[in-house]
Amino acid sequence: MPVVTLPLAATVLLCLMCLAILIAGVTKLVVVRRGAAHAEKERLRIVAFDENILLASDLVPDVSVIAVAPDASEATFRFVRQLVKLYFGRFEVMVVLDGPSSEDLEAWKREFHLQPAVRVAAGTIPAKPVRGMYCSTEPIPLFVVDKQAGSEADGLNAALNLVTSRMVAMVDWDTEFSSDALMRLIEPVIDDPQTAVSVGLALPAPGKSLASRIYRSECLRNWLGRCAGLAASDAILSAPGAFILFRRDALVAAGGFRRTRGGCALEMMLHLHKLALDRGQPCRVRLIADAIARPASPNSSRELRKRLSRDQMEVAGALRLHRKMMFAAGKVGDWAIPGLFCSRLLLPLLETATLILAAVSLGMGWINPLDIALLMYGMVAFGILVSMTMVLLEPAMPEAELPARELGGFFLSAVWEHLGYRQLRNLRFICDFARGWRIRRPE
Amino acid sequence: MRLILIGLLEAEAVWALALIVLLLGAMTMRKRNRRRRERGEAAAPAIREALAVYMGGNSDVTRLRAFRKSHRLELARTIVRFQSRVGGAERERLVELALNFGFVEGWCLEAESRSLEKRREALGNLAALSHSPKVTRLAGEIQLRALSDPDEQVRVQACALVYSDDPNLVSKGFELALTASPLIRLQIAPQLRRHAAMLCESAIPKALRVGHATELVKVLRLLNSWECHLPLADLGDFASHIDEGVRIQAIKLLAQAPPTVENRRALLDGLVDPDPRVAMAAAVSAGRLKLPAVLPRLSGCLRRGNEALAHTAAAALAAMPPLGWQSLKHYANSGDPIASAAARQALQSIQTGPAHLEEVA
Repeated sequence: MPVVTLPLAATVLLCLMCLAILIAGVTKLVVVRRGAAHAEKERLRIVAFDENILLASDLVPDVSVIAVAPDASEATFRFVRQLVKLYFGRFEVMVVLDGPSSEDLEAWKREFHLQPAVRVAAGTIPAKPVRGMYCSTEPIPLFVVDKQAGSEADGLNAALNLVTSRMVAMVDWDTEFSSDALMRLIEPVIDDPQTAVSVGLALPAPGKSLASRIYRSECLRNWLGRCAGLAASDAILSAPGAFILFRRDALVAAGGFRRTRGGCALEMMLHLHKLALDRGQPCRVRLIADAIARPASPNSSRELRKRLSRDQMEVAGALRLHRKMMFAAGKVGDWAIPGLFCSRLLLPLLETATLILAAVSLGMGWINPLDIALLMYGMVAFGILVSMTMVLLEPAMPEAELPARELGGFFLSAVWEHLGYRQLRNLRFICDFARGWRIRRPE
Repeated sequence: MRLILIGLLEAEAVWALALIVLLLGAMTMRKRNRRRRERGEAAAPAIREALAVYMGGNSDVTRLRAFRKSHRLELARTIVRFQSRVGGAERERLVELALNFGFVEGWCLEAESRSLEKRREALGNLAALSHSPKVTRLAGEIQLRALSDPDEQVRVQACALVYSDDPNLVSKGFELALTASPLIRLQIAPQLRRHAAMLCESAIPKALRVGHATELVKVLRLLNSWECHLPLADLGDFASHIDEGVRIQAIKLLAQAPPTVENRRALLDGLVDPDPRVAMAAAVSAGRLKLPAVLPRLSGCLRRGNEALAHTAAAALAAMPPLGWQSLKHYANSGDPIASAAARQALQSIQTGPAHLEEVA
């Protein structure tokens, strides 16, 4: 019987781990390639319509854009001003102030000339009590709700109780969007009134800094994988920076938003997929492969870290709440949830463990240093090549065509990304996943 | 193990080489596209100026001919863009120019190209110039064939053939509107409105002959969306259809149809329909037609115990003075709580609303 020695076991284990990383990389490429093909197909489906007809028609449902204000800063006010300027027929913007200080409330009142208003709550989703409601005396469709401090999900639920429109839209505070975003998002709903969710997302604008290039790569992977890649399997999920339109009755049937540490859209989309499957019907979600909305480019590496952390915690929270759907909920259960688990937890764990094992093997002299060097070199080069291949799939993204020089820079950023950044990001991903997984009990 | 690793590295090297080749190709293509775009943008003001001079009545096309050689695409695009910005004789001169320079013929050829992008652009350009009978004579058949294109955008653009006065082409556009997706129907329907009378001769009766309720609802909804007079003398069969969706749409349509004996009978029957939604549609139509004969049945709707129906019937009675108002006053004091509330509300609105103003006028 052959004797299994520690060096042999370490060598075999290291080889198996590297093989798993290779397989994961190839799978990722297959998914994003499918995503790129699907995006191309979706882009060809976009039909240029006469917007004036859409503006005037009764067939176009009314929309409420709901958002929980993070503060009373100039940037937030600017964002709200942009929201109320959306080009659409019947819509309103409902901003929820989640336990604002009296100074913040005063700032809001001053900025938008708010006057007390009354509205009867149409919904009964549990949420912290509303302290006051205000509408603007300016000719803008703005409604502001002042409520007791809760969470983002709680604020969204309070808004959901107060809106009466057929469709509800959501957008992140760090998203840049076009003024006709609602017009583009509503088209699939008119085409098929059973459409539950319509998602619009594009890549962030190209920036000069390494942080913005890396964030663009992360968004490209998210878009091609989580959005377009899963859309090809009818299991599309949202990603940061998306402008999302939900059918209000679907949100109400889901019991409103649930509390996670990051945003709430991903969890809601998984929930809607689950409810639709329980009813034995597919959840109709459409991806608009058009430049409707995109996350703003991060200015610094700290901002980049903050955004990635938020997304990672949102993913972890959503996965925790819907972990039972894994392999038990159609294509979402077979593809989306395992895919997110693998890419957001297992792969970072595996890559980190491989590095540690290689370092230990090298230190203990279990494996020849040249072999370890070749193995690590091969792995890093493989990662770089996967990222570079994805950069070349970038034209599939809406309005993504970079100038030639920018494309070269974006291509090369894949090299820097894998020399140090990715290893650190893996560690942060693991920590943020653990933080996102530990959801506090709802109040 | 080392051999496997070396094999892996070799494969990666080949992959990297292939990526570099692809990257260089992509960069070169983008540079070329950018240069072409910049050249076009640089020439655009001069092209616009030359076109403005031409539209102003100057028939010397030497400069425009030079642009046709150097910036053919930009010139064609500017002509198309100008179609929605100018009108009358200037627009016609531009169409003449497009015809003389062979742009329209070129688009007709490209409209049947295999490339989807070319087809879309060509049909879009033809659609922009379809207001001119000269263009529709040339492109009408091509647009007709494009109606069966697999691409939705191409089909929508081909619908510009409804600008033509050829009944055959207009009927084809109407048929497409019925089979297209709701969003496309929404886009085409207003364009067909001006041909409503022509379509009522054969295309609409033919479409109404289909037996399936879903299809019938689609046709009737489209006709309702026009909100114009339609010479449909007998809608009785549809107003008494077994499907309530068809009945509702047909009764709504009665307000746009001539008040023939059959149509009036259909309206009266609609007011006593067991389905309150149908009765509501009939009440709305009755209010618009203001026929004295419907007053007793309209008053009957107030007493059916359905709040929404009572309010609709009251609103219709409010639009029919003086008999409708007398009826409302009678029901305002009746013992039926639903009828009296609806009548009171309608009477209140008479004092402030548009019905009252109309009566005063």
